[in-house]
Amino acid sequence: MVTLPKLPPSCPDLRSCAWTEHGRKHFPHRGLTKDHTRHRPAKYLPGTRPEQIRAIETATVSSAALAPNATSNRTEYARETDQVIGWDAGEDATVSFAECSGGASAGRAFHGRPMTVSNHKLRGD
Amino acid sequence: MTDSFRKLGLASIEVAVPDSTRHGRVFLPATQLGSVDFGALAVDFGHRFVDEDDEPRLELLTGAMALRAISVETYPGETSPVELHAYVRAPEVSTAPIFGCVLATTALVEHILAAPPHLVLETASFQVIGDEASPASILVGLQAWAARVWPGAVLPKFRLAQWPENEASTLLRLPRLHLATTSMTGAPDFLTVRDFPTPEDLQRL
Repeated sequence: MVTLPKLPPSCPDLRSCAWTEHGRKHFPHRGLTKDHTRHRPAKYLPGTRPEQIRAIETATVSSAALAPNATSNRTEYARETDQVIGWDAGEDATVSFAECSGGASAGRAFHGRPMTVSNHKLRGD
Repeated sequence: MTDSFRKLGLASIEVAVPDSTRHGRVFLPATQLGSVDFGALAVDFGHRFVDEDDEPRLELLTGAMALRAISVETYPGETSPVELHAYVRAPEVSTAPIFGCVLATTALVEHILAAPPHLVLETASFQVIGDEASPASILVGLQAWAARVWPGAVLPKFRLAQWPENEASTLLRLPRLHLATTSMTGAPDFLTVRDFPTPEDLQRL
């Protein structure tokens, strides 16, 4: 029988996590092309509105899909959306990745970004 | 704390990344200033100053910062209050644009602070530029960003290129202008009657 590691409680409900814009680092901007994301950060597709970004990322942290790198003070989530939601490293990104952390100097908060399936974070490197 | 921030009831605290000379400001509602745990804030700031995914990009930017001059392109965001996304163009380092940081006005800081966790961190990828987004404030903001992230380095000269011309023309989809050879309104090209009153004549009426 496999013993599963003890995992932190799920976000956002159990730990009252709040969504943040994360400085809009992953928000689209006018004139955005795939080439702008080659060195990252990943960006959502042009025209993606903040409320859509919030909905995508909230759905991701509400899913039970825990990314491999989760730790006790930072929880990571990944969800396959089955559609291109943005660009990551110059490639189409279909995975919604989100992380929830904080709580030391302020309340816990989560934010996310589009991610390619080939991203090392999804392999747990 | 600047005058504009005091007026808005915002406070800013200068925080250093632990064991580093990198630094930035933390913005929060002035009403929360008395309850801040400065130790925890410094630790939090240190953890969040550079996202894990940003490390390779920061190495490229470090290479760009060693050049004598670099071009920086800024693109406005799609949401109000608008932010600017700044990219470094340094062909010696990469043929692709290298994201530098988001440039944020006071209005955006105030907007973000309105939602939990009511805290804005001036990290390696976020720079507050003050009340206005003008060429001067953008340039000063970029210099301040570079000085915070690469403290002590001799920084390059920044050449600012807002709305790169080649991309702006494709974005705006402006019709090509053709010089009209004939009148477009049907009006005569010149007046055939020459005895119209002059402005001086009209003043005397």
